Amino acid sequence: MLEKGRISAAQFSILAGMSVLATSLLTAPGIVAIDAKQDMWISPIWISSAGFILVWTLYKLNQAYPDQTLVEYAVSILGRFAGKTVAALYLVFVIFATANVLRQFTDFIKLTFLLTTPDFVISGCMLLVCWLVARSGIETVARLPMLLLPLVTLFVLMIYTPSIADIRFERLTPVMEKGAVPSLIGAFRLLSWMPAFSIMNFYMPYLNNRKHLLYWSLGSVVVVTLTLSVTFVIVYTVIGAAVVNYTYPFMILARYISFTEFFEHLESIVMMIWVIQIVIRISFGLYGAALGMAQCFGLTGYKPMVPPICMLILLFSLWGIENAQFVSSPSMVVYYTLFGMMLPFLLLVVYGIRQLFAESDSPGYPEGETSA
Amino acid sequence: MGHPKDERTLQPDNGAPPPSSVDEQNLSSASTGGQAQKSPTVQETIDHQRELLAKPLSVKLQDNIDVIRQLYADCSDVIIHEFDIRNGPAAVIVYIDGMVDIKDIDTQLLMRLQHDGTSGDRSKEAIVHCVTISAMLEVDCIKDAVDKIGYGNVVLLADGITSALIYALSFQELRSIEEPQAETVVRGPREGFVESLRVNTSLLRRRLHTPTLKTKPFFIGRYSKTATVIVYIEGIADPALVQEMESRLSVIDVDGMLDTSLIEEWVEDNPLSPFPQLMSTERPDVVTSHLLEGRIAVLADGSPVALVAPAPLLSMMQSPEDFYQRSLVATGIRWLRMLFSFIAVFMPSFYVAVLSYHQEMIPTSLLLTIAQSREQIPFPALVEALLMEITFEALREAGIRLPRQVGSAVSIVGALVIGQAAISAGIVSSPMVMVVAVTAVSSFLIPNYSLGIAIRFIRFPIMLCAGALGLYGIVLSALVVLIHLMTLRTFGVPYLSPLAPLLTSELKDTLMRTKSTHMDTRPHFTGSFYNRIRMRVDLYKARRNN
Repeated sequence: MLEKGRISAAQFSILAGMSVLATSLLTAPGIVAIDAKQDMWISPIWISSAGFILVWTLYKLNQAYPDQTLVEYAVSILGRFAGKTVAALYLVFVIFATANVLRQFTDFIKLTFLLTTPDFVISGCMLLVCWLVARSGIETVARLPMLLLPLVTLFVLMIYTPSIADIRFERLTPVMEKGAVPSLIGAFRLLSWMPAFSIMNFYMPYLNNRKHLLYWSLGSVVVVTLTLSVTFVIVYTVIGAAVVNYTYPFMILARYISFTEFFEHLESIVMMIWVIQIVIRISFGLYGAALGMAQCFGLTGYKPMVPPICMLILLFSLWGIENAQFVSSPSMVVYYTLFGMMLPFLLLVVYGIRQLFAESDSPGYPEGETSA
Repeated sequence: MGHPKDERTLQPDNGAPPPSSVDEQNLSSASTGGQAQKSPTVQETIDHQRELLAKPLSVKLQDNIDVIRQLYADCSDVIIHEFDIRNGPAAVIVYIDGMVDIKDIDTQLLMRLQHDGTSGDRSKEAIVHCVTISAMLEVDCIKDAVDKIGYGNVVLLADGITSALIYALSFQELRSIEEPQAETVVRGPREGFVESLRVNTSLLRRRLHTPTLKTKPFFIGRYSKTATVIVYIEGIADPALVQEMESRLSVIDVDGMLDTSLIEEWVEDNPLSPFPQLMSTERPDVVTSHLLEGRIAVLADGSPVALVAPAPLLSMMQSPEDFYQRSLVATGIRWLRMLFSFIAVFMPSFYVAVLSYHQEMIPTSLLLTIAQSREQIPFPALVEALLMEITFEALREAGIRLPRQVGSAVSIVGALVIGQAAISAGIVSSPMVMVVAVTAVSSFLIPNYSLGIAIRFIRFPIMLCAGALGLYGIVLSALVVLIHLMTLRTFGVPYLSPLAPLLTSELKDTLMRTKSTHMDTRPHFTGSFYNRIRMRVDLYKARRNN
């Protein structure tokens, strides 16, 4: 095995949850609100079903191949050539998705704080830190979110709590004015975040208490859904229909706060939350991609793969993405769904079919694992 | 005396490592040029020493005396006293003047042997019987005998006996036991370690009257042969931990070991990190409490500082006083300490970042005041901060190094430099002086001195990051420090435990200091060896409930 470290199910779910929340908290409200309007808080609830299916798929695959990542069991399921091809395509997806996150982050910092700093300085510094995390091994990747969770929660509450006074719940009515369709379109746009859960597969083999895996992973989806919903409710009830006009409504929320004349302009806190979250998100993807790449090419260690993947991420984040809105464009959503959700699901289906045929052929197949 | 493992260290490499050819050439050319008689090369000298040391003790006294005289040639402080035992064989005593108690030699050794004598018996037993000193040992080769002499023992050799009798009569001029100046407490014991290993182990023995307190000896250094002990409590400390320390100590092969801080560099996990990975303390009560928690300590002769391992970060944020004050107060003080250690790291960089990039964060009225005071300052905030922080560090260092008599002058000048004079000269602004002062005070709140230095050190790179990228730079550099701390290990224990990885059962004595009756389990570091229960609280609880 390339990794000797072990992580707990709790660390695992916090890592996954914070990674998915990373960019969605800041940019999602503006994007979802375009179609969903006052129903935007329902969209995360719709999309959570996709999250549940994805997590369940990964869980089933992990039960079938407890010590393997997607890159490895793709070969076991599809055979050597097709398996390696699918694995390589999946790795490109992981790298691209991570680069996309980096780009969103760089744009945010450039637009709001460091107006004259070149793009690659911002993304390069960020990648240096992520490189440090990823090369320190899975234990560090998984412990970092756990350690920072209280801090991030505190910061988020610091933004939410003062805005309670400005909440107007009547802005949420009428609920489902035009039926479920607007919120479903919003949910569709959210699809560019949920597939990040699929990167979980790189971490699942290294859990030390695997029997809690399903509960903790599903719990992670639930927490992500609720956090998104609550954020959407607060953002919409405070800002109202104007949400659509802002790229970063969460930031507007922070700017809005004036507490005893002293706590004003908490934008810097939003930035701190975001830097922490993005470090977690990128190292989540970076470590997964490096490990997968090493497994795909049969290397003896994943660490040599980290710097080249860092460079690829930097490159992808500057190339081919015109602006941050690109994230929620239909072509991106389809691409994300195809690789982040359909691919694991298809693998499970093929595995199931093979299992059906294998049962009649060889009784020695490891079915004890799957029936559990 | 001596543990099997240290045999290698004691073995005849009583000289420097084999010399390089360059050394030899230099030496020979110098000798042929300047002196008429050719002096021996390094290799010859060392070989001669080894040859002498490797000899067994001879039956003939004169041979032994010759060897010892050759070994101790040009040693003016070594006394070789030849005499005849009354009605017995010829004998000699060898000792180092100043390291032994001469009065005891006269009354217990010489008087017995020269006056009473062995009444014709020439055997070893008769001599042993005659001398009235209990601390006696026998060795049978020159090397061991010489080692014992070096430790301040008296060696007695007699004609016809092939072993040397070693009498422990060592006597040292010592500093008295006093309160360690770097670790003072208001309430609690005021004893501190001294430079003698024996006194230090006895200070621990006085607190732990149990045979399970083990002191495993080691000898480190080819020339210094420093006596070093690993102290632990058998049954509480993990044997694997003791073994690990033994194996790390056994690879140390140096000329001399002058202080435990040199041992620290050899045994720590990551020598490149600025953070201390072993705890150093001068207080026997601190060492005792750590021993009771299952840690191990290393003490060395000549050093008043004990090393404690494993030492996670949070254990170094504890002061002994935490345990001598009431738990609520101690928790409050501990939080204060942590808050200020964050301030010590981030305050100057935060000031730089906010002034250079995020002025909107400052409330308007305060911003106006700051702007007013910075009006005539020629430097950007970063330069100003670096200037002041470096000046402060220089003054702090000068305060330690300068002789006492000059010290007060420096503090007066220092107060002017970092103070009103600097402000009125228009070099720094008054808020900056405030920031430096707060940072300076807060960095001294950290109880562990080497951790304090580490924290003061890392704030400079963070300041540079803040100057380059503002708050973004601070957050990134803070994350780098955090990641470094997370990957550090001290003897297999994660440096940030029990926070990362989170061990909820062991938080009783980290962020807070709970009532001592609640700390009924010991901390658990690594391995399966874990003696869990450390106190019985059911009787106490029963009494409280009545």
